[in-house]
Amino acid sequence: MRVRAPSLAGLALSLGLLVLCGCGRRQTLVEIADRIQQYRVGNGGEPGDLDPAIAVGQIEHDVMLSLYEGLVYGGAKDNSPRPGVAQSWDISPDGLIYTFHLRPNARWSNGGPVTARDFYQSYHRMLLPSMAAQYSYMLYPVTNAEAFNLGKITNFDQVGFKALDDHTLQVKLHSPTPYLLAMMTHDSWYPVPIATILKYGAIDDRSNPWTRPENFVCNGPFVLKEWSMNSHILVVKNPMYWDAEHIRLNSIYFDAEENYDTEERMFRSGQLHTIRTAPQTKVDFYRQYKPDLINIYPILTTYFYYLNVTHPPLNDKRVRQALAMSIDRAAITKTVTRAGEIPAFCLTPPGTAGYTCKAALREDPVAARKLLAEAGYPDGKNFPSLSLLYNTLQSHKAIAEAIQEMWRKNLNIHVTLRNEEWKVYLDAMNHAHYDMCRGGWGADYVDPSTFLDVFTTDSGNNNTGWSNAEYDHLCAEASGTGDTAARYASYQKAEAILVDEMPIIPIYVYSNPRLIQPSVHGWHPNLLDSPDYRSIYLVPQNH
Amino acid sequence: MIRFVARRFLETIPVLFILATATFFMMRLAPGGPFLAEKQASREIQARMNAHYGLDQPLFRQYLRQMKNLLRGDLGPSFKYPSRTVNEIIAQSFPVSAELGLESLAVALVLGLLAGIIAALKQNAFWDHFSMSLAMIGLCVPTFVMGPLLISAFALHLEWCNAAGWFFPRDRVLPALTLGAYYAAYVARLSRGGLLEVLRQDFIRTAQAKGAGAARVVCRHALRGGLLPVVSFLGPSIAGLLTGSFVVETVFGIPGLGRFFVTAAFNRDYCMVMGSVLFYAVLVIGMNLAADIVLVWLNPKLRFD
Amino acid sequence: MPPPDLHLDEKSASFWQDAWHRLRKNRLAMFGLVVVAVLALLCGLAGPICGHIIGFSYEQQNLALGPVGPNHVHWLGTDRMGRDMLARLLYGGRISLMVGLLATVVSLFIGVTYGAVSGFAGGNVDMVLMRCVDILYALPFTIFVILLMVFFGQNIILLFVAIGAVQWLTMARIVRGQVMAIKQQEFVEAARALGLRRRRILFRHILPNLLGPIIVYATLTVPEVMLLEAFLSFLGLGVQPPHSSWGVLIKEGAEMMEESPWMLIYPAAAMALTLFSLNFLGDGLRDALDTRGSKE
Repeated sequence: MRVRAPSLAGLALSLGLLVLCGCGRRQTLVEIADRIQQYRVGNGGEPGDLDPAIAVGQIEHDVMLSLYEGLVYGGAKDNSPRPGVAQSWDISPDGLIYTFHLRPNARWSNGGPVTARDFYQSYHRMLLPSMAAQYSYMLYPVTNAEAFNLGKITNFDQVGFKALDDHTLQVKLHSPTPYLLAMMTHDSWYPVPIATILKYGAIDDRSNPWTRPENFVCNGPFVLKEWSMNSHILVVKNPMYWDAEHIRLNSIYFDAEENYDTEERMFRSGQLHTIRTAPQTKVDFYRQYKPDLINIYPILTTYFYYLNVTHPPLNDKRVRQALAMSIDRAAITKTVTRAGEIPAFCLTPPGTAGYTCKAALREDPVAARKLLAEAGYPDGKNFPSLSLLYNTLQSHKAIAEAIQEMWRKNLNIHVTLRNEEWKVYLDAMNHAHYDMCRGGWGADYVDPSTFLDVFTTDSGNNNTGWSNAEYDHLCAEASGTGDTAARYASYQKAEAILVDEMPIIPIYVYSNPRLIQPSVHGWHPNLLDSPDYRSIYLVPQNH
Repeated sequence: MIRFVARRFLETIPVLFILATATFFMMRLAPGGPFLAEKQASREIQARMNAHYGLDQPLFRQYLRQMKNLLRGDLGPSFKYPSRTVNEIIAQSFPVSAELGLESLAVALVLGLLAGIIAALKQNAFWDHFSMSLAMIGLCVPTFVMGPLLISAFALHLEWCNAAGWFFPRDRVLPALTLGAYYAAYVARLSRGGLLEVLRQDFIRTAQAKGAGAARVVCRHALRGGLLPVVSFLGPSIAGLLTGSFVVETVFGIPGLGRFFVTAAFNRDYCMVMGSVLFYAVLVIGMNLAADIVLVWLNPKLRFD
Repeated sequence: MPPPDLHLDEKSASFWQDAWHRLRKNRLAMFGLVVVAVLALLCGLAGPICGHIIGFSYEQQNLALGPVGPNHVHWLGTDRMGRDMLARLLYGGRISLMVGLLATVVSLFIGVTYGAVSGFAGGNVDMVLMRCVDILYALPFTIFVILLMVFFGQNIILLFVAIGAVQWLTMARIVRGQVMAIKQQEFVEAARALGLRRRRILFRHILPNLLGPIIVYATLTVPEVMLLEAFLSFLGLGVQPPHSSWGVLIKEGAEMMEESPWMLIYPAAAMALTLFSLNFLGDGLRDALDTRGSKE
């Protein structure tokens, strides 16, 4: 049978034309946005919520930074506290009483004044047991805040917040906390519009729709204009903001795509001004060919492996040390992660608020073999089969594979890798159903306590089973004193114990490879990777 | 036929019930709850969050409560996006993935049937091998490779369209091609196979012997029988197409429903999983019903029973 | 029309001989068979090949080297950890070919039997069976896999269970549709009139007529299964590093397709070659088993 086949070439041609008609050479979105001062950000995902008492995570944080302003805010360059709604503050000589003087011209986006009472009520809400705010512990330095949050006292007047008048807020602490102002730059210290919240539901209702654009009220430099799920959030300049005249951006567009590779392609095709983290595989390319588009800077996050000290042979300090000492960290950062990470030999990143750990573990495969032999495993003989747990991600896998091979080569032991989906991994980690497990810890504020307090016995995040009375004592001592030198001295001793005991194996301190267009001015890298939209502006580029 | 359809609707009720029950208990058995995070909140806070959503109650009571809500058509709140309900999320995302699904379906049917028919008519000739090779390439190149390849060519090099996003009509072209190509490959292979079966049956030979034109033979006689496997395949596939694809949606930055099928399970967003499963089930059942009706229509010897 | 394959019962030996004879004359099919056999052999002998010919094992890293393109030392280049791609490809092929072929056969077996019974029986049996398929279609697969691992641990057999659990569904629907159509045809009526038992009619007379769609769909399943295996590895089921599979290699390669295209091209090509060969073989098999003879 013969049938004339329609020309496939013709079909392809007409299909091509169809595509052509739909698209045409035009200006990129970034070029257009430059002219209208719209900052287009790849935000790495869809925010869970924009309520400071509910939201957790960087995605939410970066949007909320544009919408809210606390008493103080973190400076663009060094995250240091700057006057926000509070134009000044006094600290009592014993460091226990902070008195904040609020700007009389601070306004909500609906025109109402931002008063000390607003802050008082917002902190009340943050600490309400029924609110179940995950970051409520950021307010715990305040007298009785913890007791109220845990429901041990029910009268909020007993908590150390007091609105002395409309524009004066007093905060009483139970012990001097020199880093209180640094903590106060955190989202948990934002004021929220209580009246608006009550208008749309109960004060502690997690499903309260007050954060919808049509209901939303805030006090930051921008207001919420559009929120399209999994697509984008658009915030526009808030004319009611007290310093609106110095805000140069007209709007910020937060793209919600979560796939790094997709974001990078959007950046490359001129749809976005910046993306927070370039895909690991693309960092080399940008460094080599487009160095003006990439900005790599250290951030306060450490990558490490938890060791379950209740599982033999990891209950033997020598084994833990041997494992830690036989990893070539420089090889990992240079050839596996490749984004300028800093090899880590202790838990805290160097230069955390002026604190650099003096103790450091040695990398020494020969000594490691000796330690392993002393522990009863000469040349890795009879070493039990241990598994290394990580959550499924290409970068974790690559690091784990590299370290697996290093241990095989240096210690002659075989470690199996076990990857799990995120929640299964978290569950195993929390229930200590693991031998060794990938972990990471990012700072909530700039101070060594945010790292070192994690490994105290009572910490909910110490998943290693490791407990050391001396370490607990030193950490408690540090948090009880207002003298920075004495605090850091205690932390030095505590971290020396941690490095010697090795319940965790530090691997590296993160660097963040951000992609950013040359038209963006006034953006500065900082340790918390917390952008300050007040200073950013766009300069159209000549082509 | 009305009785047939009505009976199918009745059958749907136990199916959805079993499915909801199975999904409920599977979700609760899976390790890790919705509020488990890398930075653990204190035990008290976690307990209160669970209490807020009634997750602290005995499992069976939770089950009864959820079933009661489901009966009312209330799919519940999303744990990951607390200010949104599951009904709302589905209502927002489904139109997006449905649009993409229909466009991809068009691509799949046009390309797939064309290739399949040509290949069957020209069995073992050049066009057969050519179109089947294309189809097999469509199968071998997974969507997570095809998508970036197309973006690379058309968005990054030729600069004809955006690399990702879902705003303009031109944003639809590449995702529809990516998703459609995969299904087109299936349609091509299945229709070729089905047609070949029919073409060698006697009644077609008779028709040819009587001098019926090839085009007429294909359209009037062969397609009817030859399309049976395609129709059986398309039933559930259309349901899948309409509810979106995780890969295509993340590669092209599309705010569709498909990504929730994966992320809701990963987030242990219990109500969202339940909602997406039931929604998908209704579509699958509906599309399988449609497929069964088409099967009867294509083959008059069959009856609705 | 006389039932064309009624004589098949008595002379099945010569039937298979005839089929094999016809298959051998089909050059494309034989090509496909040889290629699949050679691939399987190469992957099966991955150990000695890596040891004696390539000189690298699949796990031997060279971090300082990193990813380099094909050269005379590493014939197919290396991956990010400086591991030899050819060695990884051969080892990866073991799991991929095994999963691809075995899981397909399993899903073929379940799907064909289930679909044939459902379509042939019709009525309430069909109804119940098909509604079960509907339920299985909609169950959350990710959670299913996670639960499998929670209860049974990480186990290669689970890989087949998980894949088999989803892959047979569409096959069952296709076969059911075909059986429903064919059971109305004259030769089935004739067989009934001859008083043959139902099971015999179904498996001896109806199923042979379904070989075309079944074989086609089975070959289509192979690449899907191989890629599904990569997703299961993502969930922690399946191969664990430093082992690999073609699906996992393709996934890794896709992430670096612009920087190191060879990491994607070779595993993808291996999978494509397998699929092409299986398709030729499948088409040939269908023709060879078709008792009604060729079309021309």
